[in-house]
Amino acid sequence: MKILIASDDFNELFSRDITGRIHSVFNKAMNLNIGGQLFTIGTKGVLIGPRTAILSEEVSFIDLGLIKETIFEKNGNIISFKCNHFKIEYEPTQIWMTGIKKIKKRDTLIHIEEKLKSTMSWIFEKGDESGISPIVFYLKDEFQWIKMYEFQKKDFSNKNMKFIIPRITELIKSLTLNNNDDFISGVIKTVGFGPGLTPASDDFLVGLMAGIRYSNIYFNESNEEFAAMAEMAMKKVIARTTDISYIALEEASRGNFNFAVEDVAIAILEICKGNEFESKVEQLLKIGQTSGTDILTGMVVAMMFKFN
Amino acid sequence: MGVKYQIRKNTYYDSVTLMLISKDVGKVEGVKEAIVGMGTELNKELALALEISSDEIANMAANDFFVSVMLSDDAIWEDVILKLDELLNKKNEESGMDYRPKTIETAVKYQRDSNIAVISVPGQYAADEARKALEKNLHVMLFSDNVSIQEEKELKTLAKEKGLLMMGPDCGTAIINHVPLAFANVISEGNIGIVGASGTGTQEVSVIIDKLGKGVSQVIGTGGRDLKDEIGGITMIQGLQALIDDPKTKVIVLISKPPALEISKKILNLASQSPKPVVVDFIGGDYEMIKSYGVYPSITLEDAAHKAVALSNGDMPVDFDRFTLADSKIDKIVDLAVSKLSEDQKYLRGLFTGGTLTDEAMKLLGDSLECIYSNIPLNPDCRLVDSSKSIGHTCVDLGDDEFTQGRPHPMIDPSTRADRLTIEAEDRSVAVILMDFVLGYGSNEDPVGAMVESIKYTQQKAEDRNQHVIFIGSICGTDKDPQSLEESQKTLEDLGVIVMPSNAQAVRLVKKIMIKVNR
Repeated sequence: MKILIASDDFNELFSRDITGRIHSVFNKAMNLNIGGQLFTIGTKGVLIGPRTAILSEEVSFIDLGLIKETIFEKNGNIISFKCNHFKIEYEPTQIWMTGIKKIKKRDTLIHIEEKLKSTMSWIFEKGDESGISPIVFYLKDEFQWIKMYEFQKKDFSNKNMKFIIPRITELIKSLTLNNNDDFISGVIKTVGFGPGLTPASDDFLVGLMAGIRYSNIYFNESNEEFAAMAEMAMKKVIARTTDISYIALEEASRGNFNFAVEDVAIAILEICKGNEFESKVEQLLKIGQTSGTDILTGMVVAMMFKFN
Repeated sequence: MGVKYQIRKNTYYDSVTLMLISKDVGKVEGVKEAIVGMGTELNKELALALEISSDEIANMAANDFFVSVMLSDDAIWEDVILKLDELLNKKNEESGMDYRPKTIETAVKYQRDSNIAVISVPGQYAADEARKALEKNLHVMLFSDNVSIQEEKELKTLAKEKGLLMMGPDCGTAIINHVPLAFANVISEGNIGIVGASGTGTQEVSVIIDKLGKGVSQVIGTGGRDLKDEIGGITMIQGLQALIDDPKTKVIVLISKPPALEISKKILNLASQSPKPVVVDFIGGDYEMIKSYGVYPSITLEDAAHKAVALSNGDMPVDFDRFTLADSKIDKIVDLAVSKLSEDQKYLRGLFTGGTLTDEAMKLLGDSLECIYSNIPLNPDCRLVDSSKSIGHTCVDLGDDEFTQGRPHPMIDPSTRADRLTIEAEDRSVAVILMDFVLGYGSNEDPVGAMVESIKYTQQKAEDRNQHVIFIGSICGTDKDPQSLEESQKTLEDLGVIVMPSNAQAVRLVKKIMIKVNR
């Protein structure tokens, strides 16, 4: 079994001999704990992201008999696992660079607004609305700049939604008022909500951070202040969510996003063919059960705010 | 009422599993409130707000998994835990089988007497996998689509050379040696063999054969493009020959949309030489031309089933173009339904999950309605500009590619149709909603139940504006299918839906109503 592609941060760590333990095992991915930091190895088909390497073959890590807490070692170019003598040849054929990507040919403001509205409609037509995405119907009442095609507002008013609406509203208000302290407090009050392993509100926050970062790039604005604020917020929420979700949040606060998230952010802001754009959005919507939908919701809300 | 909870320390399940569990635990009868998830601070706060918390829940860590519920009766807790474990263990049980080969090669080594491979992988890998299977001398049922027509031709040519059947690509149904594959109903064993190029069309014929008390020997699917010029009907010809040679088959039925003329002649020539009677339903095809080959043409899928059953009984088949109910009863149904409509209600909206059933409906209605707008129109001028919006009389095939990109086929997940119905509910010009409900293996576990809320919503919307919408449906299913045919029918009838015994009869009823409405 070989590594097909690895992110630059994964590659940097694995360029030396190391040891650690398996943190968690799923069918399509397993997480490795190396000195308290988590790294992911995904099977073929899983999208590359920060701290991730992808295998050249499709396997089920559960079927391979890998179990959590098992010690692994990386010696030379072999990663070996003590529980079942499973070995991975570590010599990635491609290195995927983390960090904010460039926007090549900026699209016009009118086109971007249209794309944002289309994306919002796809969230409800093609996404899974059982996460946090219906919140936009409530945010729309509060923030007039949230633009949507005409939708039949369904009854999303379950108790869970009533619980989270004021918190997200507060968070978005802090952005509009450019209030750093309120933003940090808003993030703290929002992180960790929802049933998923990456809770829905965390996914929304990842999308929100992507939307802000990439919009700043579009407008040639610095991301420094936002980065400092986001990193500070993340330090305060480390114990408030799952280890696995925290990786995505922490990396997002540094401007590192999953491949599909970057792809959609750039497709919205760059000149892009309609079909290509829609297929990129669909790719993102396929992540997890509701994760892709919730990330996209956060991204679109952030971009609508920045382009308002 | 009581609160029950369980915490599993440092336990991870992937998000998809957690979301599904969260939805399903909430649905257990007697569960008033439920949280399933990871022990994050916010989920703990939510548990507190819902009054289903405890000291132990308050103290758990973010990486702990928990379920907490408020129950109308404590005795239900056992059901909740059983449901939880059932959902959590589902995957483990699947992966806990003795051996699960990862490739066709190892599968054949493991199970040497296999002679057919059912392949369902993303389109880009499908042709390669099918080729590997054929090279291992396996017949193939290729459920996957997105295989190029050139690849299809190559695969079918290779299969023919090796004396194998290449069913598909995009082959949705087959019953081989009484084993249903992909979307298929549970049909009695019998002596009628079917070769079908259209999935739901083939299901409809086999279901009606079963309802008429007969059964099938084999149902061979070909994939929807088999009868195009480029492919030349390779699998249909092989399937027809196989049924001619099969001693258990006494009557043969061929089902397809009208093929290319040359292909049609080739198939009908072979059929005309068959020592066994052949019924042909080239849906909307040239009746007289088919008849001239000495085979039995049919006018609908239902008619094809009736003719096959008659021939199987040794009787002379006659056209079946009527209702099962007496005409007087049908007239009463029509009069009553029309009397409830307001003056501005004049349009039909057909919301189908089956492509062939959509096609059959439009062909049967064609001469009575001026233009039926569709995403698969009979007349190119009647193509919907935006398939998500109905105009005038509309029949949509919600299983068509444009509706299924990135989401399951509506026969598996009917939510696309449920959502579409709530849109139709807003239109005060709608008089009739026509729907198909396909039961059987592969289909949703409760295709009718999944539509109930949307039907009620539509009825309420109409009532709010002093209107009444006529719902007409047909169920493609047998009393042996995993879903209950009886309960499905009762649920629909309790909602006021007029349930007809076949798609053709449902469409004929619509036709009678629309003629009266537009008179």
